[in-house]
Amino acid sequence: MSHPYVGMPPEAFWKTAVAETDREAFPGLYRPAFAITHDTTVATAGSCFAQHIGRYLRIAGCTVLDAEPPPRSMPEPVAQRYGYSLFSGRYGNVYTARQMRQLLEEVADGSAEHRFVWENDGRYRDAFRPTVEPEGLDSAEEVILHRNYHLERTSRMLQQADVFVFTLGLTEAWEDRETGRVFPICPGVAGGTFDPDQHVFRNFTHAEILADLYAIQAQLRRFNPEMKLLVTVSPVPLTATATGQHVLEATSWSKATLRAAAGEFVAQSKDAAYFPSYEIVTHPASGGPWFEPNLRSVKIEAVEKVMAIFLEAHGLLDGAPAEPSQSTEQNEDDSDSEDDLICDDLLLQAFAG
Amino acid sequence: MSLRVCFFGNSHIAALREAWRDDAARWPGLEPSFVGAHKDLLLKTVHRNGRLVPSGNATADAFRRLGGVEDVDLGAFDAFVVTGCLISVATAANTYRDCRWVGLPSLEAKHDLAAGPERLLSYAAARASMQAAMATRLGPKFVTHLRAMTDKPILLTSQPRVSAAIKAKRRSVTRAHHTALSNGDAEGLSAIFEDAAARVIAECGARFVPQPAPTIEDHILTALPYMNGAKRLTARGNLPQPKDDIMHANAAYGALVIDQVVSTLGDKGSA
Repeated sequence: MSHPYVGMPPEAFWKTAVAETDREAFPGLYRPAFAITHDTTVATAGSCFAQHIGRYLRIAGCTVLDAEPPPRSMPEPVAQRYGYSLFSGRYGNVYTARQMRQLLEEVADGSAEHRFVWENDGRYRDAFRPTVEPEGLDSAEEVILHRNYHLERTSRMLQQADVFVFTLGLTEAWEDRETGRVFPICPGVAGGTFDPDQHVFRNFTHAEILADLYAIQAQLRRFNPEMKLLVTVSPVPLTATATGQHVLEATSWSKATLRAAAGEFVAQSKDAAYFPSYEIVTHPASGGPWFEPNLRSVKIEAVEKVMAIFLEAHGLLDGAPAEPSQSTEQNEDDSDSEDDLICDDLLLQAFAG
Repeated sequence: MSLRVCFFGNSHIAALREAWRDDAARWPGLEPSFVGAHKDLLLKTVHRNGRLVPSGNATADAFRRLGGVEDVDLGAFDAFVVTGCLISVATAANTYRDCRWVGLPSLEAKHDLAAGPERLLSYAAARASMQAAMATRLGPKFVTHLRAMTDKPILLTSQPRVSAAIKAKRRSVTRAHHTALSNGDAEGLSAIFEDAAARVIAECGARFVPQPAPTIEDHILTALPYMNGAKRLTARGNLPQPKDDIMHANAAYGALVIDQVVSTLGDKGSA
């Protein structure tokens, strides 16, 4: 008898690809669609999990771009507190595809607008990255100055990028009713004032996310027509949901939607690829449990496993240090490893009661 | 009324000690002790029975040789002063090397900020960077060490700014100073240093005493009359600093610092 399953590779079958394979290395799980070498210039953005990718690529000796590096004399904890070197731009967490799209559109065509400066108690914040200046700035004009600088530096960085790694984090966001622009975090949580007439809750659908991913790719090609796009989905659950659902159900919906949109986008796009970090961390077949006792923070061992699979597939593991960077090692002693990453949405936890 | 003050410090304590030796009558009632130690030897001490006791031979030797004491009876003093110990404008200058913040004239004059080699930084980020760097220096570390042993007032006096001699002869180690002077940024650099230093010292439970204003030239330098003739920190204090020393101040400078200390400790609620 002849049928399509005859002659398929081992990774097509659960028994050979999962049940009886080396589930530490998961051979065949990730087959790079394009090369990343030590000479490749990589840019990163996305949810807090995206910070791992940039960090481990640096450890592996890759060139991870940094549009706004901190001063050489700035100690690393200070740099992180002020949003430096977490991603390739000082844009803070970019949780949704819509936020990424609008950032790229602003970098390409726009300039900072006064309406998106948040004022609280005489301190001023950039509504699209409210946590990068923890104390806020002295004036709205200074926020505009810093944002225009940020946009220009990000533009210059993107022109140098061969590969853009984007980690999708959430489907939920809060939108400015008048302009349609979304915020990384609900107004009022880390700055600004929530106004139910002005701020609209959005839970982006598969179709919307798919459209945003296409728009992201189109925008990236304006900076470099040859730029490749690597998409991942963060395995980190939602801190909170505004859907009215149970947060567990909302997390499943959100991640499934992101995963499906990413899959469809990559299947239909040239020069785009998906890396299954989400599956490696969350699927029961991958072992674990890979979450800390709070069932949200990803254990460092899981991050190492994810990144070892990624680096191995790209031939970048040889010569790379076996251990994560010193700062990560130090954080392993912390009781709460969440401190390792800068996650703006954790601010919502303060309202958990 | 007497004021018993123990001055601790690294090499910069020599200026204060020389001032006292030159003109003790200038401060009636002041009963100072000067305990100097090079490098980080001040930290190699422990608290034992109300006394600051050397924990190693090198510190014990420094206490004996430079201060004439075996240890320090913390209960015998009304206040403590930590002088120099690497709290200097140099920390701010390090940050200034590759970044600028709002308020600096050179930044206001730039048309394309993103094109320049210097990074745009918020004032708060620049200050936080300086604070974090200063916190690792001897001064704050020793203040923290000392604060755990006593609830008496503790002051930390600024290390002198580098000598105005650098204006006549440029030094590679003061490149940022030269840039700040030529860019008109020296005043801003001085201001952020004093802001950051005051904060980091307050966090340690002490009070920062800035460099005496009359000794400052062009905001980030020490005027030559307060640098020429500086002495090394030796037991007898009779060795001059090398001629190319731009770091250490003289007895005239030390006298103004002691004036500040006496004045500050005279204020209620000091540190």
